[in-house]
Amino acid sequence: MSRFLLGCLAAAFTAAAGWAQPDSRSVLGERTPLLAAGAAAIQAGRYEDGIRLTSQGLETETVPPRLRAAALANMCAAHAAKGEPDAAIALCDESVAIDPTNWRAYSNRAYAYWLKGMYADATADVDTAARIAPRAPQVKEIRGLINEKTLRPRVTMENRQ
Amino acid sequence: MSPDARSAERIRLGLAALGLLAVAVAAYEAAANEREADDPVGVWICLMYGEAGDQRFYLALAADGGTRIARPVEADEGEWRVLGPWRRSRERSRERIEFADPVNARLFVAEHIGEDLGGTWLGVRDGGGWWCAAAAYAPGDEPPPARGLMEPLVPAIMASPSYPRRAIREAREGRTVSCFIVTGNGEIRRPVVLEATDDVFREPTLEAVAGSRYRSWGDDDATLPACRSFIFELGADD
Repeated sequence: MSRFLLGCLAAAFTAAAGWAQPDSRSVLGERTPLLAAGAAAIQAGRYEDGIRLTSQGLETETVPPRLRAAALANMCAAHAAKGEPDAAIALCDESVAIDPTNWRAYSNRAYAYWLKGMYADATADVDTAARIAPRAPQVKEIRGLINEKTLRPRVTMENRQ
Repeated sequence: MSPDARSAERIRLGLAALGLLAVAVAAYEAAANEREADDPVGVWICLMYGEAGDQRFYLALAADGGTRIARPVEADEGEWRVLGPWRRSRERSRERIEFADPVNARLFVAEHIGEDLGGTWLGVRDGGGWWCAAAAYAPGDEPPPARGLMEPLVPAIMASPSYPRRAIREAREGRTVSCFIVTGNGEIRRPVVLEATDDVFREPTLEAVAGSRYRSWGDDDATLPACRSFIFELGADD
């Protein structure tokens, strides 16, 4: 599970940086150094540091709305990785309210719902994420986790002779 | 050379000749076995399955391409019914044989040719599979006794396949059919997956068949073909 989470988080930050391209990668470092440091900390698995730095960055740095949404989604992922789904869901709610096209926020919230056993909500979010990013491996991973909990396998055998 | 030395030389030469002969015979037998590996000529006891049900029959494939069938009724009357001649064909570099049953408008194709014989059949409106075990009769003989087609096979252990975790995660469902030979003491031999809608289900199918057996039904050297179908389904949580 932790490997999955690390993969999920790593992808989230790669995307946050990628989202800022082509001209904002340097801005992320120059104008929003705390957000950049927070992202790096979470990527390294230092969730507490990552949450603290990202939170400080959102309070003190000038952050455009889509970057704010990405930063909130990252904090959401960090809380989910720490096993704090309620905190994660609140942050993801805020993220999708700012940027409804941020599929990672839906994906992270789906995982948080999964942690709480709220599989219908998790499915709704993973469906939304899949509509925005149908090929994203994280979305498939979370759908797999949901399927394992919700689908009941059955095998029917018949003898032919 | 003394008479004793000549005699010893003759014995040495004789032994060498015998050794060479043994090597030649072994090579011939190996070649013969190799030929037999994909030679369908012979009499087979077969099982045909499809949506309409299952049926056993004898199948005689002659070296000249002659193909004959005997279902229980024909076997009981000691007569074969003639089918279209069997012929070899190749698909994706894989050897196979095929023949037609003109009366029932069915085409039989065997992709598995070896100790056992079988494949799929296709009719106008339906289709299915067939699987055969070798019967100890010559194609020129009368059909074997009909009672050989009537023997019921009663499962003693039916092992359930595990549903592959990957298939659950990816919400994959499917169907497989495994065919095999059942020996007289109920053991399952040489199982193959004849049909699989998804390769992910092949391994659990074979594992389940390998863990199954039937009740004893005949002599140790008697064999019957049998198949088992598996439907892998995923139900939603209530």
